[in-house]
Amino acid sequence: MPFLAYPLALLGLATVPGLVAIYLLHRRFERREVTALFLWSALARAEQGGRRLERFRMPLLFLVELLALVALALAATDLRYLAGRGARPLVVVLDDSYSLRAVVGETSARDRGLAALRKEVDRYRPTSVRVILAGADPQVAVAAAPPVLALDQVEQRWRCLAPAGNLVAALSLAAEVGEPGAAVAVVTDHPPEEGMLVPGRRWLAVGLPAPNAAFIAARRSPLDGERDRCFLQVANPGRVPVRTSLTVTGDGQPLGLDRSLDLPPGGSEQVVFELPKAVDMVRAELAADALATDNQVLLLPPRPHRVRVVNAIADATLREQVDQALAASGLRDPAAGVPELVISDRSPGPAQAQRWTLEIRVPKESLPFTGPFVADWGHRLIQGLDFGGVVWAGQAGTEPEGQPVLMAGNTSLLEDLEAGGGHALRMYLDVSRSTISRTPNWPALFWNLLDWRAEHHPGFVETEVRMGQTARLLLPPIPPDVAAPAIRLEVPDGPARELAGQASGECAVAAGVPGVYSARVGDQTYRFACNALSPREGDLGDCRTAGLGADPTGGVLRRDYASGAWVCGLLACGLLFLHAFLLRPRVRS
Amino acid sequence: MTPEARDILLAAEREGGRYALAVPRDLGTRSGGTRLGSRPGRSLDFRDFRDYQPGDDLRWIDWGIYARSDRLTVKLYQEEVVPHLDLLVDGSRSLGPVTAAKGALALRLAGLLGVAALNARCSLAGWSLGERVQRWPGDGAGLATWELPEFTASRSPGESLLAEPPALRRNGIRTLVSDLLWPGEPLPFLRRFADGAQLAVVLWVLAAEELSPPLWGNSRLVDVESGEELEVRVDEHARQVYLQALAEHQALWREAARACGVQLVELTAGPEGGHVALEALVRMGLLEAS
Repeated sequence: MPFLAYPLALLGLATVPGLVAIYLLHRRFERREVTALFLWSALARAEQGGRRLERFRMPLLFLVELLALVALALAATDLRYLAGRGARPLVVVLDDSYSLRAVVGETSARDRGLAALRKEVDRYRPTSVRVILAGADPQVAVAAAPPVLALDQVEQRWRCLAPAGNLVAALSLAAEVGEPGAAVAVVTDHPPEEGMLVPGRRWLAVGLPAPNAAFIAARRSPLDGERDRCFLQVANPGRVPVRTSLTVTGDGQPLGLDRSLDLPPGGSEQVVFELPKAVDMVRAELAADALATDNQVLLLPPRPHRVRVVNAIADATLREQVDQALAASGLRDPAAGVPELVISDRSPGPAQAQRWTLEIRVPKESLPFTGPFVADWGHRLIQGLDFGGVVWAGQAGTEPEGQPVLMAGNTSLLEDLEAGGGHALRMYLDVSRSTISRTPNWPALFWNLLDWRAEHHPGFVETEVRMGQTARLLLPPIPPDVAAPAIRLEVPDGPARELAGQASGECAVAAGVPGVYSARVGDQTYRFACNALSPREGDLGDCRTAGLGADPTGGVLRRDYASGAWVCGLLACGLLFLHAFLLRPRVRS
Repeated sequence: MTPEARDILLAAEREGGRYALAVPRDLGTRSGGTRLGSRPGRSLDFRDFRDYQPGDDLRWIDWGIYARSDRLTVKLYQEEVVPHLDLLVDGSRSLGPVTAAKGALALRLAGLLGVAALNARCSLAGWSLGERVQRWPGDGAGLATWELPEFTASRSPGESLLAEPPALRRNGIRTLVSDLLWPGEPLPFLRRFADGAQLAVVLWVLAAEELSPPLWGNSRLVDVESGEELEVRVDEHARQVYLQALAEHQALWREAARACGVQLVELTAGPEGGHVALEALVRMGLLEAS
């Protein structure tokens, strides 16, 4: 009988009577209190032995143990079953940059890549497939999975929307996550650079060269209080001349800027135009070519950068000089509304997050200082100022109450008292005995103040963001005793989602897909536009189709029969787990 | 408190009267303290001058020196400190009754540290880590007024401290008396315990029976805190497995203590445990003869 040829299996079966004998022996456990039972838990259940015979008390446990022994005995017989072919595991690195969306002929590089990948997997039949997406930052898209499942997941997750494909980092990641001896296949649209094609690596280039015009820069900035100016740069990163056409619309209406562009190889053309008043969204498009992703840019109105100021200074001369400086800054918002900055020579009231104050105290007995002045040059208010030759009349011996910004010796001239989430600034100045208001420092000081205040406006800091970058959203100030409101974020490629309220006052939004993103906070909506503006990705001149590198699996090893001992071992493990579960320590109620 | 516990505390008060808590020289808290610290601060005691560096507060510039030498110089003052001891005591059942050696040693150590802190003019806050984290009544006065809860909690200090972190004083001294016998990662506990402390010390009290368990034979082991049970045969093999697990547990705590800057003093409860503990505390510099 072949079964008798396996001594280990016989030995396993021989233990069965022993097991029965153990179950027939009586045991008695004495109760003892211990302080750290967890230190004993490493022990298996104690040997079950004794002298007295007793009838079976735990038939289920006995059954489990018996089955486990039989399973182990079967494992020892090395059962075999008919197996297919087996090979090494495969790590697939997929270039996730958006140049693979280029359509030449009827298929995109991504489609060709998928087909090539399926073919490779069919040929080599790897034991498992891991997938790494090589975007700007590579990431594991599929952990080790059966080939069919992995390919299905690749189809869903490989979107080719990254602003760059960092293959070097992705190959490093592949070496880290791949099992020892795993083969690597790279799917991209260009041939390997020097040193990237090494033994055990298969390079599937699925690109096709094509002419392509692309936007590589786009910006919308305020021109004056009501109108904006736009800047566009269109490039031909390829090797052949390109003729394309530019279409610009504002809120869907033509702006009369349509034109054709003739771009030499490597050349670019800049387009600058001013927008009519009250245009919300500007859309600029190029004629259809191989790569559609970089043929469109969206430009939203820039973030409001002007500040509502109330000049409540009583002294006529000083008020006029402050008004002139505010007007010269170009950052004062003439619109009526809740003031964002109050300037006064008397008490301007408490400062709040949305209401900053500047108090200009006029000394009763001023003393002119000609310097040297000691300044906190890291403070936002005095950046770029030069007090050389300036006469500043302040109140001699005034000690700072807040953070000193500018001092003449031990006399405070300008200080910052942070209060209520805002800033209460205080200036000691007798303008009639000072020259500061007749120097360029004066308008520069107020420009710094208004620019600093405007930076704290809620909303996205940038309304145009390049694909792959992160947009910073400054949230409206929240009273200390009120919970931060939730943020509802709408993205171009999926359903809206809620972001948790941020106590820090700001949050970051990753711009991964071109289009308009909007965040609703309370009753306010803030937006930014994400555009694909990468000249490197727009260059389709280097794209090639090739299959390079030898068989990455090193040949297929055929196995007609495979050992099934592991199945029996697994069954035995399962039974032992069940055994451990049945014997788990229980809390006595 | 039971009469036995009160007796142990009174004995500790007599014994600890000769010792004072050794306050680290660089212990600092705030201006208006009772002692001078070793770092620059904001007291009225002048300490030193140094050149102004960008970022220094302009208020500390010495304008007299500036007028004479045209150099910006900053005045530094001595800081004042308030030495403070946060004394945390494990209130879990694993420390055992105070009539047992381990519980008695834990109580005695708490008493010693308390009286030493009072001798050193430290403010003292006593915290019991039991079912809840709470200050025990009378912790600021002499040991005779202490009302230290008994060791009866079924919750480990690891859970208590992380669930209800007490308001421990920043820049103070912290000591914990415990057997550290609970499963889990010690790092979060020690980080929380040592966060903001100038000096953090854990007095690790274990019973002789825990360090070397007897060969009990077939036993149903019952955890005194959780009530979980385990039936094992405690023979030499089981003992070795237990000792291996204990060694790994100790190594884990030692490593975590090193990572968190916590000093770990390992003490064994027994007839001579009190004297040995006192010597260890003097040797490590936590106590000094007053």
